Amino acid sequence: MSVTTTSTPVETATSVTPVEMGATAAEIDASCRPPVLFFFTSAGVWLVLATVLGLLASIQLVAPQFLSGCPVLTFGRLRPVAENALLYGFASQAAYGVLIWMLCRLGRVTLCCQFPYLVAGAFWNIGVTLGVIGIFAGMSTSFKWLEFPRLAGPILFIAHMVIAVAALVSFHSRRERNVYVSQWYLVGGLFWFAWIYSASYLLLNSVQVRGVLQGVVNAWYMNNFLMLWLGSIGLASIYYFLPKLLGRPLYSRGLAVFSFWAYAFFANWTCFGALVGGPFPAWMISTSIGANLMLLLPLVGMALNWYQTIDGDMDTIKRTPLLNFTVASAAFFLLANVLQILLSFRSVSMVTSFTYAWGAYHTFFIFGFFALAVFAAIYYAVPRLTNIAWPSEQLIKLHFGATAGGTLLAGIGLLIAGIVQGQGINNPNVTFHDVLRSTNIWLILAALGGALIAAGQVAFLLNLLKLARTHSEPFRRSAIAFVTGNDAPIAGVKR
Amino acid sequence: MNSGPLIFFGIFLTLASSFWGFLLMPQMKMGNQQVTEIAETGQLYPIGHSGMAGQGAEVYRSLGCVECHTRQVRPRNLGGDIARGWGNRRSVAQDYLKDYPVLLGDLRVGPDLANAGVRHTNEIELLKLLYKPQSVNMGGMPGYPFLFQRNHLTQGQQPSADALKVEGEPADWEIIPSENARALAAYILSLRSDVSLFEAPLPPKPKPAGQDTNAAPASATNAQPAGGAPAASAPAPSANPAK
Repeated sequence: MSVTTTSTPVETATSVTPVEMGATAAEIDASCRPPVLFFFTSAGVWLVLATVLGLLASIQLVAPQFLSGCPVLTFGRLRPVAENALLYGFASQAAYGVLIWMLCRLGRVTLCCQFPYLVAGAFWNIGVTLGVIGIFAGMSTSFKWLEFPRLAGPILFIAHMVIAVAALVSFHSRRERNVYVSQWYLVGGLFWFAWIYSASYLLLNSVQVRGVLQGVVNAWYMNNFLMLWLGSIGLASIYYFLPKLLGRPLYSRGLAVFSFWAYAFFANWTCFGALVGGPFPAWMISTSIGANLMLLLPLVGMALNWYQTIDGDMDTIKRTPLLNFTVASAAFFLLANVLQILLSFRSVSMVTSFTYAWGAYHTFFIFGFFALAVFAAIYYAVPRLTNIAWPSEQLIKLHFGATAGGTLLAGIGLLIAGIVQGQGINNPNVTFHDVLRSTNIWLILAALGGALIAAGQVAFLLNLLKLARTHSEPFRRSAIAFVTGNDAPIAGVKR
Repeated sequence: MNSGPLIFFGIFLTLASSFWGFLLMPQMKMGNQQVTEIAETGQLYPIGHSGMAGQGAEVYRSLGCVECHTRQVRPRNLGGDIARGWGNRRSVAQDYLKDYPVLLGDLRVGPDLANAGVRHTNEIELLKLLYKPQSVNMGGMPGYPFLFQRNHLTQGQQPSADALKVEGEPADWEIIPSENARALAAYILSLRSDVSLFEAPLPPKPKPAGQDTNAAPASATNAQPAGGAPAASAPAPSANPAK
């Protein structure tokens, strides 16, 4: 299986010479297996659900009467469900799986404990399920990306804290004292998510800050959920796999240190780019625009570091399917952020604010950057965790092509739709109905992109479930044998 | 960069900066904003939504109307909202003081509703729009037929007084708006942020010569586009609220 074998043999490429040897890779993988597989599998299921619901919602944008007779599936409920299922069901759980495994690998320690992760993972899924049902039932809080009814909040937060504390125990007991770039991002992500989620939840639902401050808190949360939570995990994956799969060390640690702190500091000030013209104090929006400009510093630092690490080695990239994921993810990260910076300028946002254009940014960031980054980790880690090769390499290629291509198509469609929409809204001689009609063709393009993305994720889930089936075969057989009392060995199954 | 506590401290400080700058400081500055008295009329503003409109706010939240409708008018120099007749002044923090949750919205699949109550004044038309948008030429919006009850009428039975007359619906069916539909309509009709505030005064009204001061007050529906374009090219939102 080339996916698992063409990756370079240099397992330690990402870290400098080990001072003291910790656990071996095989031991670490064995210790991580149950929780990481649990998070990856449930993330895959939510991912397919979210992309299919998202596709239905994007069809409704073109054909408003589609499914409109059904209160549960009205656009105002479908869209938040699809977004929340994607962000909490898929993205956060995939992030947990990646960060547990990566923290152990980079720290050269076996996982401290499996049970808390599994319990927290189960509760996380319960929380997301309750939240999704709540939105469908009309109990949404209406705060974007915090739409889950209040009940779900504490469940998700406590589950996250259990995972974070357990992961920090692994980080603390690391044997490899040299802390690698990815670890800063992983630890940062765990801490930042705990803070933004609890603070926003309390300020919006318990303290109930007044008036537009709710909008401020909500924008702060959305920005940091993307930049600091998903962003951290995705960047950790890029910094980990780019040197590892290329088989050469990261170009510059100093540059990585600089990029990390500059990103950590400026990215959480860029909240109000999408709110230009809104009823907020002008200094807030100006500060955000300034922070957006400063964000160019870490972006240039990262781009330079990655570019120099790749060092023109297109051959290895072509030969290694997983590198395609990582390189494309890095490119989408830069693209998404540059787009975000452009969209927040006052002269541009005059046209693009409150339009589909911001959907393009979200698509590039979530599917292009974050999802591709964690897929690389999943495709790399799962065969090592289970000792089973991916059942189909074709499906992996299909998954990559559909996700990257679909993201590009959907993003471009939404961006152009947004520009057309914004120009139409700013021209008072065009009726609103005509504004809508003029965006239709681009929204159809975006929906096609969405369909492609959804198809890719189905391919991914099929591959994953097939592998999980093979993996669970011995357990299932022995469970059947235990129940039926028939302990005869079964041909072809390794115990 | 190898010391756990040091990394952690830095990570704490970075987010603490924007937490302080964007959440705590504004809360200290603006958190005590009070209802204000409008100079012209002596009324308090905002007064919030009570009764039917208050119930309607819950329906609005529950159906996720905010996914397609913003409720913020951008200033004249940052977009065509005022020229389009979505308001006669920009929205400011004061307008949202009594709302919970505040539904600013971030996508305009549909028109802005900050001043929906200024443009829409007819409850029946609004209910028809909610039941079947195509019947009032607003097919860009999904219908909400589940907010209405459809009863089959027996031969010779008259539809009840509440029934809507919707074009294109069979005559032997009556369509009765539910409590929720009426509440939602009451809420939308109550949406207006068109009073003059100190921080967002209304533009001075041009006073055509020869007219007395008792002319109908200029509301958002009569707002002139920036630069005083002739009335013929100006939008006429009262004729087509879909604008």
